[in-house]
Amino acid sequence: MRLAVAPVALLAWLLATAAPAVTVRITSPPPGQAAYGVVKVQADVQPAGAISEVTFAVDGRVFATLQRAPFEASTDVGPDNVEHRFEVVAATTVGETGRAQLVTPRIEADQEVQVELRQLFVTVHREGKKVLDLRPEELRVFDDDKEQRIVTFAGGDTPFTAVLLLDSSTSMEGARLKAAVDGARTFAAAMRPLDEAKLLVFSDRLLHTTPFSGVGEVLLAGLGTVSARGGTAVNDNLFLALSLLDGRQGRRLVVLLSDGADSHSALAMTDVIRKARESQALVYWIRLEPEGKASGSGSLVSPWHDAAWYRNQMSLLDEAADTTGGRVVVVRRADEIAPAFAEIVRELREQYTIGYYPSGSRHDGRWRKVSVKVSRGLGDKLTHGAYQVSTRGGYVDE
Amino acid sequence: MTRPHPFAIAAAAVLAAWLAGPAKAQTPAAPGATATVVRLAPRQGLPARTAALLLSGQTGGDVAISVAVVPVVVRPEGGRLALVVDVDAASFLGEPTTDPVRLELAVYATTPAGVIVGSLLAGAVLDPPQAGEARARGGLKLLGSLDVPPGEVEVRVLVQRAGSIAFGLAETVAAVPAGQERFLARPVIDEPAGAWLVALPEGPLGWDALALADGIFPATRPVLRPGSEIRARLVGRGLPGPEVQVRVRRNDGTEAGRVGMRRESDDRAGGLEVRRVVLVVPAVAPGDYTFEVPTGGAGDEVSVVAVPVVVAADGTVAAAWPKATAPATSVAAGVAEPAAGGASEPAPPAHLRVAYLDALSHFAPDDPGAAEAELATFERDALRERGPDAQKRLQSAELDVAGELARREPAALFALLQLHVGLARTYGAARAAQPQAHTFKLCDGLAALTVRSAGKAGRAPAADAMACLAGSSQRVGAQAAAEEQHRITLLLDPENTAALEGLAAGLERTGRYREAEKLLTQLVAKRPNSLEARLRLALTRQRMGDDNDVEALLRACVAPGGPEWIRAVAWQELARLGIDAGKLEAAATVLREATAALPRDRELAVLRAFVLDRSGRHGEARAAAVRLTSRSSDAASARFAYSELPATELDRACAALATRVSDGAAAALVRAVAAARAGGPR
Repeated sequence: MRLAVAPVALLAWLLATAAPAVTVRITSPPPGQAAYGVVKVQADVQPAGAISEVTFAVDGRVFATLQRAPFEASTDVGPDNVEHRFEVVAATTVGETGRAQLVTPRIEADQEVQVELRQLFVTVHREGKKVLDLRPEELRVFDDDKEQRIVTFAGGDTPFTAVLLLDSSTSMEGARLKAAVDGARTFAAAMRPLDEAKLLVFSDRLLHTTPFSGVGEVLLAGLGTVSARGGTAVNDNLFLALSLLDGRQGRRLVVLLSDGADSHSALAMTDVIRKARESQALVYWIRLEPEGKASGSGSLVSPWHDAAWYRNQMSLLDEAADTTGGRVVVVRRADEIAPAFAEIVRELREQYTIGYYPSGSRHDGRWRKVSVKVSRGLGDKLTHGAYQVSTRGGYVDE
Repeated sequence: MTRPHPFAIAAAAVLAAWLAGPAKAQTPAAPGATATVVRLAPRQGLPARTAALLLSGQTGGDVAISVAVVPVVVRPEGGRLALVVDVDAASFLGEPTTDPVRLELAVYATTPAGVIVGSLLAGAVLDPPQAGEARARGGLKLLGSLDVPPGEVEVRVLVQRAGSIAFGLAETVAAVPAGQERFLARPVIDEPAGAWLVALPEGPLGWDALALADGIFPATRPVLRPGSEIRARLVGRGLPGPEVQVRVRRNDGTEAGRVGMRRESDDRAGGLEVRRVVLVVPAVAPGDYTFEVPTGGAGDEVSVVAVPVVVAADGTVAAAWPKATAPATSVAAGVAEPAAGGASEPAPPAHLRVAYLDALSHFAPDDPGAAEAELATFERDALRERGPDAQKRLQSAELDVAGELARREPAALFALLQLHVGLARTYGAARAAQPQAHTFKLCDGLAALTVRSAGKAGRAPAADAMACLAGSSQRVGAQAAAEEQHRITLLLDPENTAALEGLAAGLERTGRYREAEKLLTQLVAKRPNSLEARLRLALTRQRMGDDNDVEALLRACVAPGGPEWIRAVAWQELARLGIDAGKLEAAATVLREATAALPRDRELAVLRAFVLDRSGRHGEARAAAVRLTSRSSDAASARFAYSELPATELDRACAALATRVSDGAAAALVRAVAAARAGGPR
């Protein structure tokens, strides 16, 4: 009897201590590092060939499911200084599972200071081409001329939340509106999982609206029935778009398609500029120029505003795009609209997302200048001038 | 005490309204020197602007002119007036140019009741050498004749430089005695040959009693050297004795002296006595004087006839014409006199007259659309005719017919005006540019004809028609035409509320806030209950940076009962006053009241979200943004409604015109057309 029990016990012990069929190891973020904002989670799963799916979750919320390597996904954990529990679960084709967990700590401090994580969305060019392989240590962030420690870094595919503002005033009648709708389709088709957008079609009134959604069909439903009519209220709708994005996390942007000639808003562009400066959203303006006219020609007048006002309006809208780190894309023909949307999405995919906690923050409502430099190889004095860095110029320290 | 003779030309009464005449010395002409003469050709058709200016009651303008009128033929049924108009060359010609300069002369003679009883339309073209000569000589002298019925008439003279806004207006009074009573016309002092560039009509002037000889022409305001002997002519009946004492008065009315006037010869012509006289200019100080010639009476009851003169010590040309004074309204300054074509207008083609009458024969008071369709076909065909002047020929034919219809039935013109104003609207909607442009000119001519036919009584209906036309022009985007039409309306009727409203809206759209503000202030005074006028005045003042009464004007617009869009815009602007002044709390208070009064107004909600955001209440601001972007709406915003063209007063003007038409004008047009087609006496 004693001889029969011993093999069974040995078998049980062997089963209990046998190596699992699937091993999962979280390789990023590194243990002991606090997690804020957008975090890229990387997992090493073995054996990789037998895996049917790998699920990523943070704090109990699944944010990615992948079927093949590389097993890595990003998520925005928000700016709060709290612990986060990351979990990766791998399942094989025969139903076996393996899992790994990582808890990132919160930063301990003697004094609780409310500091918001500032995020910068950075595009880098060199000799006319985008630079896509920078590492965090090759970027330097200056806030009010003081260098800052980069806390989060992501390159490439960071999810975004967008508000698309399509001008559908009377001047958009015909081919232009059709091209605008095509542009929205192009944008929706280029969205990836975790991207979200809301579509507002406006004139002096709101002609069409959608909820925030990552589903293209939801965004584009009913768009074919929109017709161009009425005046133009760019300022009001840009303000509302920026306000909507205040409540969102992560990379946020407004894409405005319009000739910029606001004629019916209750808000002035100076009101909106202030909001743009305070917001963390990027503003991209696809600027429609009248066909055949030189850029910037302003002979607009209306009962509300004179020609000088309109020239100033255009200039301030330019400034709004520039100051947020977005830009103006000028189009002159209807068939240039959809490519402009595609160009913007491409640019978004090629941006770096950098997060830092500003030192010396006083919440005094002052404008703080921000700049980003590239320091690669030979040191920034020699390399910085070779790189063109685009990002927002600053923010209001509220 | 002396007083003017009742039938004497009351020149003294209107002298104050004259511009100072040219100062030309009565120096002997150089041997063989003669004035260059250009042709003054008759014109057909009078633009509405000209008619409006002539009847505006104003004098002055950029061009200095002076006028003299003397009866030269008197018959029981009426008489002929000799007209002399002196025009200052510098103010008329302006900057030297290599282009020909066109002069337009328009004269109306009206009875004291405002009925037009005589008119003269003529023009002259000065080539560059002639213009240079006029400039060198200092002026142009225009001579013409005016046939008028017996009685007193007011003669109003307008000189315009075609293709510009430069004009001069002057007026005087003349009389043609009805019977054989004694009278003395304004003494005629002649000017030497060579002093002017003279414009004369082709053919005889018919100045029987004032024959011109050796290039000597009457002066409107003679320049006399002290101590010099001058010749003059007295025209009238029952002339004073052979030796009379002429009183010389200063401008202040004090007497400067007396001189003897001696008879040289007597004659008769044109039913009048004509006496040539001689007198010596007294040795007075240089300046402006009046020579008073007694016509009869004795003691304190002596009647006189006066003539203004300038006494210049050395007999040379006196100081340049005094600065012309612009008329009271600056509206006239905005409308240029269209450049006239060649020396004469084309005669109205008979076939077009007939075809026009045929089209008009389809007019029925209860179906004006039928005639409109026929007219449109007729005009389009006429404008397609071969030849460079198709539009002019068409206009000439239509105005000629209109003139005939007006002579038969004066009220017919109102119906004709309404018909063509309606046609302008149709052409505009169809984007038929050429017929529309033609109709603008035609309506202008019809409005002038209305004024011509009905005199002062025709101004208000002509103004309503032009205002109605201007509204149509504005609605189809013909802003420049609309502005001109509004300005003409205001010349015809300075208080026409449709023109005040419409022109102000046009000026607002083009950033000319100052002028818009003046018009809107007038409109608010005329229509104190018009909330739209108050709102536009408030916003226009704001844009000028003038806070005068802005808040009070806006507050008047928010009261319940007014149109919702006006209340909404007023509330929005009241809130903006607080926002722009950095007073967020005050703005928030306004917005609380406003959104309670107008909960569905989107812009008020946007402003409220903005104020919440600026006040640090970001969560509430965001919630408001979510609400505002969760539902779509097709309702036009209040600010969009503001940017539409105002229509209240315009509709009132068009309705007034329609009422006139339905009150008998339509029937009058039917009768007149029938009679014209039947070929009865015109």
